[in-house]
Amino acid sequence: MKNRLKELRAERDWTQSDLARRLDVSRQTVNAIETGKYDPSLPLAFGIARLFALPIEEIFDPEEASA
Amino acid sequence: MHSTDQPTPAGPSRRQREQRAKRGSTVASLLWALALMGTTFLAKREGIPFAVVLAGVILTALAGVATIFAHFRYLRQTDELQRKIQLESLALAFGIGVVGGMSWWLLVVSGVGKGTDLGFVFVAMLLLYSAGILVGCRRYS
Repeated sequence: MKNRLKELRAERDWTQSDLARRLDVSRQTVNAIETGKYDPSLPLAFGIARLFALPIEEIFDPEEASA
Repeated sequence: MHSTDQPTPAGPSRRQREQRAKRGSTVASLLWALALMGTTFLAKREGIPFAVVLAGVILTALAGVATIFAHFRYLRQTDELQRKIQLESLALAFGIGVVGGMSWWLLVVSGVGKGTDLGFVFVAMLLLYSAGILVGCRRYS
């Protein structure tokens, strides 16, 4: 599943560690989501949407497989 | 959202709880391994009273139960990606252990294989579990 996490994080000038702290997950998890190797659980996806104040579908695109 | 490094008003953060649970799991595993080695050593020596060996067996079993609960606790506290890696590794080790062990047992029953010592299956499961963790960490990083 493709997502805009890296782009949204860069807009805020946050490191992966910053984002991991805000989401209460490990940096490895943030990296795995950004690179499309791991799809987050529903609670984490909602947490990400809440953090960026965006609807989930504007962050995650289930139609497009990530590279 | 709170920082994973700072304790919250409600108590320690998730990362602190995870680290504590991981330490507990590691210590319990080491104690179990030491108890297992010690009891095996005592059981193979001559002149050791049966009661001492039995106490060693009971101690090893108790340490094993503590290890299981400590690992459950770690799985509950850990990050969702780590939990996925752990579960995949456990599934790999258990699956191959059961299939490999039963295949070996069938060979013995059918007369093709010799020996009934299945100790190697448990060693293989431990190695596969460790390998699964390493592969999982590489795959998701």
